[in-house]
Amino acid sequence: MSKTGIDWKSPAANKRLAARYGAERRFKAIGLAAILLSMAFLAFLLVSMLSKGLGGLDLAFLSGSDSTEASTAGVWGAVKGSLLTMIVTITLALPMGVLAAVYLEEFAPKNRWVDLVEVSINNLAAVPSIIFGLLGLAVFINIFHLPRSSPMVGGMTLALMTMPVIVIAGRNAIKAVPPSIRDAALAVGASKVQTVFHHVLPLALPGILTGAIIGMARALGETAPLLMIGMRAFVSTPPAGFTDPSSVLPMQIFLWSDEVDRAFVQNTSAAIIVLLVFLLTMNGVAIYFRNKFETRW
Amino acid sequence: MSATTLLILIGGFSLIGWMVAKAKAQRLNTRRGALHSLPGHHGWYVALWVAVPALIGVIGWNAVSPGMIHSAVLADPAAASLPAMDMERNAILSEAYNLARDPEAPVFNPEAQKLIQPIRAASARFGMMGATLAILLGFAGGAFAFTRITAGFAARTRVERVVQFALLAASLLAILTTIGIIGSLLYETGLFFRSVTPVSFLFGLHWSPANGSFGAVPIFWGTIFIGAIIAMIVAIPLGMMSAIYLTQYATARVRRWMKPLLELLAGIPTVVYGYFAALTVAPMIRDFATLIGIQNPSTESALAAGLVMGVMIIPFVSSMADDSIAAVPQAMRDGSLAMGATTSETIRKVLIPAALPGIVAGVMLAISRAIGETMIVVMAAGASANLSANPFASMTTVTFQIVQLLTGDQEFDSPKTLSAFALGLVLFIVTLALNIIALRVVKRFREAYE
Repeated sequence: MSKTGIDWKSPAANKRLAARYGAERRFKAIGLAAILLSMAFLAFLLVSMLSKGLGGLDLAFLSGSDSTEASTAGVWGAVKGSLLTMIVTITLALPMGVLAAVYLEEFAPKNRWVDLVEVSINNLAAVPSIIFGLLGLAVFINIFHLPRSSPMVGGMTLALMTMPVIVIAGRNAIKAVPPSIRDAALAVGASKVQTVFHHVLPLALPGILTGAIIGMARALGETAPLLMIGMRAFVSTPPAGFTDPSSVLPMQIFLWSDEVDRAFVQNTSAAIIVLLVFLLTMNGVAIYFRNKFETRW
Repeated sequence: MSATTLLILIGGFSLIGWMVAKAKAQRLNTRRGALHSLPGHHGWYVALWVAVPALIGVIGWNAVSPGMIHSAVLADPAAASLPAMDMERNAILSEAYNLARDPEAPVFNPEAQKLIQPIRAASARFGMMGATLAILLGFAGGAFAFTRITAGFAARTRVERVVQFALLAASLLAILTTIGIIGSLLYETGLFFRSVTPVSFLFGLHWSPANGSFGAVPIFWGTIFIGAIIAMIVAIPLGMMSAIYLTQYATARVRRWMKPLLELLAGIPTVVYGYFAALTVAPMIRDFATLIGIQNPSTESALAAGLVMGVMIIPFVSSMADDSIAAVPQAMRDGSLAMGATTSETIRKVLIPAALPGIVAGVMLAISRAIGETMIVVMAAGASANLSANPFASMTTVTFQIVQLLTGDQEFDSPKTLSAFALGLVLFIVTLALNIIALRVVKRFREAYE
């Protein structure tokens, strides 16, 4: 018997230890199982899309537009609609988002109004996307009478949704630039605006762009707000401009998934592959940016 | 003159102003330190004085010119034959305006055709006048600014004041968006509550917009059952255990590979999940239901939508749990291990209780995301509002109903379409409340360990 009154060699103690180590192993196994289960689901999803859709991916599919006939339908019309929409989104959301981030991080005084702006940006980032669709419907279409189901309205709606994401990413990137940079610029006579635009912003740019790309990827995959503003038209020719009726890639997937004709299953899966390729490329570029240009001060 | 040409012209004049002013400032720069501001700042000062008055001119002219065009058209001899009745006359006039803008617009009234020419002539005339006015304003502004340039002139201060104003304006857009959301939802909901009382909407047990009954309780129940119960039963254990395994057990190399893969689940668009749920998961669940002896299970089940939604939320829960566990001070973990506890005992008895506020907040954020999720339920849940706890039944959600009510072809101010905005308002308030409470909890929890 040891001084503490516990005999570590006794069968009872050994049994207890074994039970504890068993619990330890089980817990670890459950953790591994959880993560493998999630991965298995991801793999199952990707494989089932690939197996159904790869056969339909050919040049005719990539260059065609929507059609009532499954064999002649293609995605180019929808891809072009997505591109036009994304152009509108990025030209509105990126400058506004960066300017707002600069203001909040560098110029804003500490008062109740600025708090209100901050709270509303943080909340907008978490508002369900369908609410932005309701806003777009009520404001852009019912009040301003902008053309329904056009890339312009779609892009504006998605820009309102993307802007908070860019503001938050931009603020974090600006915050990460050390104060010594600002002090050095101010010390040699630069004004506050010159300091920010010549020194802080270029250093924060990789972080801002990473956030912008991630925000754009989210906007590209978004369907619900565009459903609200009526971007579900049947478009058999690619849109020529920002005000033409158009569809977007996720919307095309949604429309085809509703078709009764089983032949559209292949089209839908093929369109999903196209969309995923776009999204993975964007995310890959964002990760590359982050790793390549990230500076640890 | 088209709007684009005018804008390009204004831009061009601003550029010229920029160059001329910069050249003048450079000439004034006779010795080192002679200029108060850099030549570029003088350039910007003049360019802004060209562009801003010109753009104000354009906007102002666009506000007043339709009225002037209108009276010019009415004064035209072709308008003399218009009927005196206001309604008829306005119909013809608005049709003529449409035709003048778009020659392919449908023609209902032959009268309108005669008015196209006068409208086009008047628009061209007043457009030209507007453009001239804008450019004159730009010139006046530019000339005024140009004369003010001297060596000691503080151009930088003035230009930067404009820049700061632009920054402020950009950040106000966030507030405008919030106000826009709240305003438009409240306005349309107000119209809806004229025909349906709030009490019967919020507490009514029967939802069937086609027959005019708007009791939303079955919809709220469906939303909670799919988004907050089924999805969370999937997402919380899987997300928590994944986070624990990745942060506490996995080697650095495994983590480097597994974490991005897990995050990939969050990057897949919801329409893809929806398609997967409808095409693959729902039939499997129906077969399973038949297997355990349920008669005629429906293809659209709450379970299919909830399961897939849960998988979508896993990375979200996992990263929130990750953050909360990482915020627990290392000393607590070390203390527990030093007392002889195994890693799993430390996690279960020390780390998770300490991180609990953060984890609860993360779950609240996850729920707010799940109930706002649209495409999965639109594609895999159902349209019928059932008040049941049977996961194999078809169930409907708030977001599904909003889509359903607003994508048909009906007039805009029927109670049916307006009810979508009322549902949107409820969704907005609930998600907002969840977010605000969760962010408060997280903030207080962080402070507790600092």
